[in-house]
Amino acid sequence: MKAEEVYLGELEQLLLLIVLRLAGDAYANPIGDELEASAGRRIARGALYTALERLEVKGCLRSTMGEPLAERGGRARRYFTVTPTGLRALRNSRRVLLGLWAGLESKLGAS
Amino acid sequence: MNPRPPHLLERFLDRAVASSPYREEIVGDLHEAYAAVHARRSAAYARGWYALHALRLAARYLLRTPAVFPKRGHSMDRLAMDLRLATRSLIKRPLMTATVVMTLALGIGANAAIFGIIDALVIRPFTMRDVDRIVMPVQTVPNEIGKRESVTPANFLDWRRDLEGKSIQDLAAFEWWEANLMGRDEPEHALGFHVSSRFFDVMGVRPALGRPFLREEEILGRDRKVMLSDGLWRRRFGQDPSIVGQAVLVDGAQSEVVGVMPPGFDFPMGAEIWAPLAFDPKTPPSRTGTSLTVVGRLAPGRTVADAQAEMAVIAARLQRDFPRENRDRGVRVYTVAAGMRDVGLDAILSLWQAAALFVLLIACANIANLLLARGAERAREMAVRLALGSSRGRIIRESMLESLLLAMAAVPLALAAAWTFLTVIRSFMPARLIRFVAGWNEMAVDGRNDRGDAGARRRRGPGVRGAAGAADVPRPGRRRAEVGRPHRQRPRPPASSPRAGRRGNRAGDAAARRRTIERPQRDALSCRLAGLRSERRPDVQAGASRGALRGYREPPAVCRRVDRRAERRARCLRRGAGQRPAGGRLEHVAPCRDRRSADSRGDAGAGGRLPDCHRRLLRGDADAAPLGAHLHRRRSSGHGAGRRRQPVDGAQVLARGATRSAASCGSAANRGRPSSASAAT
Repeated sequence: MKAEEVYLGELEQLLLLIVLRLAGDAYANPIGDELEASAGRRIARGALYTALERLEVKGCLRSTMGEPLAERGGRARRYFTVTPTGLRALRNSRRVLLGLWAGLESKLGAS
Repeated sequence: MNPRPPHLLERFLDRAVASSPYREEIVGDLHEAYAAVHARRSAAYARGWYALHALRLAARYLLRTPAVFPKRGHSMDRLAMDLRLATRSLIKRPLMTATVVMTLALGIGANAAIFGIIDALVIRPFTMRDVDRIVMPVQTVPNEIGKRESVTPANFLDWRRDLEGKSIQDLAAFEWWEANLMGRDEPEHALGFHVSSRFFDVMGVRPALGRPFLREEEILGRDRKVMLSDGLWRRRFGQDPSIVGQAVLVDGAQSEVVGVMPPGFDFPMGAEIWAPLAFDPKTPPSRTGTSLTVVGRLAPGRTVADAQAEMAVIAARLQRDFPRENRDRGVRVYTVAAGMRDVGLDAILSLWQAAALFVLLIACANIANLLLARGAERAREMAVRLALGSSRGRIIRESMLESLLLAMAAVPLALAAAWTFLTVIRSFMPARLIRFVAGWNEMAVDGRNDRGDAGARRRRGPGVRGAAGAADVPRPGRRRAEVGRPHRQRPRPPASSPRAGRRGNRAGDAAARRRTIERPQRDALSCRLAGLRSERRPDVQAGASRGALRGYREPPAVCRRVDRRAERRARCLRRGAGQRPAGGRLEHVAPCRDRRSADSRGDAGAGGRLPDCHRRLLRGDADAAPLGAHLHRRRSSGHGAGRRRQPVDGAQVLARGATRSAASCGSAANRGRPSSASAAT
């Protein structure tokens, strides 16, 4: 049976890519910092959690709990990893975008 | 040691984000980020940073609207959802929201402040008990319409003699007196009044210490008595409780202190000392010198108009008996508030109120402009929502809720603005003049919602409170309690008891309200309510117990349960009678409720028209068919046959092609599908 197609928004793509980049250290704080550093986008914490929650509901992300840490007041971190569905959605988005970009270099510029 | 964020804020955030599956992580991430900020910047900055982020997160999760809502949720759920949407919509446009709220607050605040002034100076300038019962008869000046004049001592004595036991039960007079207090301390000038013997009874105030003046103290030579105000007693006599009976030096002569008035009583014009108004028995009182101001207390059940009528008769007699002194001189009776008010004050304050109203109108016009502009800006949003299936009513309701929220947000600010306005206005009045403006010190933004009693009782001292409470006017709560009494047969405490005094408060009212609706009345009320719904309640028509009716609530689940029970009984009956109804369309046969009610009223012949099973039901036969079985019969069309039975309401029945009459029967239509239901089950 063919898996259901998942479509990603721009922020969702960014978040999935950042989670992939952060590898094993992808929890909300570094994700937000990386988003600001690499994409120049500063989003509210609440919006970040909402987006991560949405990606998890879509099946693009999976989360696991770490150990409780003293610097967090005895609370654990939630680490995110990209699922195969998320990878497939990313590839699909990339393919679509590249297809749309193709042939428009003259108008939009090479960079 | 790791720095810890503010504990209370962290707890608040923990509670606020409880709806999120990432609750622990949200709090933990912010805790961790706080430590990082603390290391980079100062502790104060980190605390501020934490507070900002915690509050933003809390606001987001507290106001978050669930992504998916039940389509037919409870109306309160929908209202709460709309409230959240409206709140978010307002927060999204903080500048517009702040402008509207501030504009509205200033407009309402100005009106509240001006009304506070009018309330204090015109409507309720005095705080005596039953101040509306205190009247002020004044002499009208010859050839000058509307001008008032003080009363001559002779006329006052005539009025008092003639009015005794009539519409004005007590009549008193007072006269300006500049009292000079000497001895004990430095000489002091105090504003005082000579008052006649029943003056304090007219005012409805008893001395906190001592006794009021006596009638025999009105005779010259026996009038060396004084009554002190609470302020003077505290200031000059150090709250000496043994002051009563002692002699003090007033105007160079020894006067005996007969009492001390309770705190807050300074009528008239901030008086601090009172002495008896004395008449010389050897010389007739003056008929020309108008020096007295007269006040009186209306007898129970009598009105100002009654007093005016009687005073007119007396004035006519005085004109006849003393034509030279009383030529064209009449009498006009005012309430004390109207009589003591400066002529023209009403008009000036009305002008102020009108100006404030215009300010509010202008504010409303500005707000309307802002909201219209915002509406144009949101046209696209509205179009999208309509396209997505939102109804116009829903959008209008949300707009109304937004306006309501704006108004509610403006109210506290308006109260603050009104308080500020009044404080500024009060500060403009010189202190030495304030005593001459009755009610000036009472100008405030308060929550009084009744006339006189509560506000007066709050401001009066304890000495007055007891006297006022004993003679309190019956309140609605008390009347309601009386309505309910015949069913309780509980002895009523005497009016002077503390319990009776407590009845007037809010808790007493609530208790009285509960007592009021006694069982027979509640039953009747329940029956009426049930009668309204009886088209959907066959058990009501079938004579279900009143206890069951009282327990009836609107939610459809209850109706369905009742319907299924009735349906089972109908099915059993049909089986017993060999009737197997085929699936078909429903038809409403007759308004059986009317028949039943006619029968229960005992109308001749009405019972004869009632079907047998109805009569059995009314008698309470357990095996009788429910009313639903007779309300509907099936036509032999196959419409709806074989469908799974579902509870349906009137609109759904209409949608399925049933007749309007069947639709009006609501859930009764559910019972009209027993064959299909039984077929399905």
